[in-house]
Amino acid sequence: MSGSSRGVMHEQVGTAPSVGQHASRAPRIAIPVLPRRVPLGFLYGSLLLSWIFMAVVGIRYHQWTYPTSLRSAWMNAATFLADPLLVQGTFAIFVAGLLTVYQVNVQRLRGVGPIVSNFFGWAVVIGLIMGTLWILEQGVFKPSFEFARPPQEEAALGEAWLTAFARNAVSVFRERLFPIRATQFQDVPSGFAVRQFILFYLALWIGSQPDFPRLLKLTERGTRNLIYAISTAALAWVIFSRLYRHNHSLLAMSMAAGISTFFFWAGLIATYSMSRRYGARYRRLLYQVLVAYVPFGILFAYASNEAGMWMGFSTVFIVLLFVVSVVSVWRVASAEERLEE
Amino acid sequence: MESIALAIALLVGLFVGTLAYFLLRPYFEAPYGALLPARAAPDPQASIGERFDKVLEAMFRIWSFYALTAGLFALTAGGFGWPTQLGQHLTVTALVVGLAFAGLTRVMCVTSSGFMLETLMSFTLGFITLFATEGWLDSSIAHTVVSDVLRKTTPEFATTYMVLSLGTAFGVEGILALLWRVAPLTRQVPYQLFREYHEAFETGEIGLYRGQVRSLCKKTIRPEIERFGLDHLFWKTATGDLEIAREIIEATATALARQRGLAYVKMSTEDKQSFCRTQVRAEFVRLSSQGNFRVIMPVDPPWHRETVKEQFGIEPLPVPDLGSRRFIVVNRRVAVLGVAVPPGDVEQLGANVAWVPKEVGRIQECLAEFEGLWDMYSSALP
Repeated sequence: MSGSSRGVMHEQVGTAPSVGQHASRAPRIAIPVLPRRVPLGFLYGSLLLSWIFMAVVGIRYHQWTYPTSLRSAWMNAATFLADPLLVQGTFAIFVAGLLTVYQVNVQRLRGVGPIVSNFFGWAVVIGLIMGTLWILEQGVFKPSFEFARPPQEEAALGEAWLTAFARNAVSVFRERLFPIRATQFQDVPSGFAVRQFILFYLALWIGSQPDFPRLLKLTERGTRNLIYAISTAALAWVIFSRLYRHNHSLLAMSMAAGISTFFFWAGLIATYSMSRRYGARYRRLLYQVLVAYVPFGILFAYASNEAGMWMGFSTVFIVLLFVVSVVSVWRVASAEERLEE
Repeated sequence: MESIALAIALLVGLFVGTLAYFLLRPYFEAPYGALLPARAAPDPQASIGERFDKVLEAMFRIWSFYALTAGLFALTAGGFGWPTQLGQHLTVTALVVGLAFAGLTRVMCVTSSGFMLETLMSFTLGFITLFATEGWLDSSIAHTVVSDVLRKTTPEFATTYMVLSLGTAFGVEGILALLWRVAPLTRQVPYQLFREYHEAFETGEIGLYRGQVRSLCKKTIRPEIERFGLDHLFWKTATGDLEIAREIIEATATALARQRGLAYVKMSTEDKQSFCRTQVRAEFVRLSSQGNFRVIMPVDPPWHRETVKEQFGIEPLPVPDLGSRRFIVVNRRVAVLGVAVPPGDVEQLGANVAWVPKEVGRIQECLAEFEGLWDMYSSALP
């Protein structure tokens, strides 16, 4: 890279020098590189909003379910055909695509990796996140709230086609892994909403990167707005169709919003703090997250029927974050020492 | 079982108390109004998004402080009152008491030393967390659904919690910001507070941590100075954390001596400080007159750009990413304003070079202004 290049190019070259020669030896599945920025506005804004949403709407109107009088035959068919699981799966592929576009764009400058291996890398990461969420949801979140699903009256529409199929497919596995919880206490939080919120925040995070490339001949702003619009629409549809078909109560949605918002940002900040490159910059956010956990945890515990389990889970979580912050300090310090040598 | 619950509660309480000590520091170190974004000198050139981020961050910080304190109080009452349903009514009262406690401590910080309050607050929070955890664990052992009782007796708890904590937080901080407008800090205010404000204004940083700064000074600044030699080191505040001061002064003096082929003789701290200040000023003027020096500023742009421009009359270059290697911290005990880039290295360090001075006179003015302020306020030093 010539010395005359400045600005954005310069930074990227400065941090990952001389990778360009190794393009032919790129692995089958590329190891994802962390994008540069945590979008602080989204972080603070979504934390505040989801907390207020939980306190004002979710807990206050926790018995609210979608009124059957507002149903229509068209919407019944639409929520059946445009299955939330289908939407979620498609959206997950979309997010992996976005991450790949970003990755390839950055790595083009760094000179690593074909598109397909990058896509697989991110697909594996997203798959792992979704799997972990499912296990957490069945093993921790749902048991620590202990709410049964809304009463399945005559007008209940049941699950949409793909969701019903998938539920049957995993039911044996689920009953073996989580024997008691598999049949009851499935309402709060909505697993679909938790996963969709996480995917939504992933899309916001990647779309708001300062060097995210333009797509479809749009301007930079247009690209961002398109990504935000698609993400919001997918999120709204998943939440709406789960509420519409009486699979969940409003409380399930608000708790899903709170849980996913809080744990997404906590996880993201923990990841950034562990990075040698970004640790020093983002570690301070860990302390803010720790402070914010108390008001969040109080609402979780207040809404739950098994508050003792929430207290135990909170203790484990706070200790984990604390360990992350200590390890982060140590890693960044050791990285600096190595640079000095 | 109960002794296990007590042991766990004790551990958690201790843990939270220790954490609170570190977590709450920024809230006590910020002088009045400083938690609000207006004090952080927003950059008029920054995009709307960047300014909005700053505003949201300030709101989040304010809210989390009050919600944390009030929440812990309420949690204690909720956990304690579980055996008697009557006790549950205490939860909302505890919420109000907690908010009043938070607000009062915050206001008291403006007029007196934050240190005692900070310590007091950490003890209180740790102590009440102990009770909270014990109560809630006991209840879960006894299979009493605390939250179920709570929801029945105080159905509006969540909304009350939200409205009260947001209301008190923005009310108190708003009044403090208003006070700042009508009655800015005067002679009666301790220098400690003035300095904190002054430096927070300069750097735009509110939350920095002592421990980190010290280790950064030892591990980063000193090797940096020793490795590249020294063009200049601009010394600003000479009080406060003497360990850092010693580190930097010794490194500076050694490097200066080595550059000029002299031996470095150890001096007393007072001598060192005055030596450093005169020496540095001389160096500063010399280098400025040659017009060939660069300054690395240890701040995260872009919202500090305008401040630096105002304070030093120097035009900042866009520096989005400082990386960790040249990360030199300004804290509120000691300020290292700039370390020169070694000549010839500028092209390579393009991403790290920050501000190129345009007006030499302005820098000297600023220095003089600071000295004046120093003289005025140093008599009020604790």
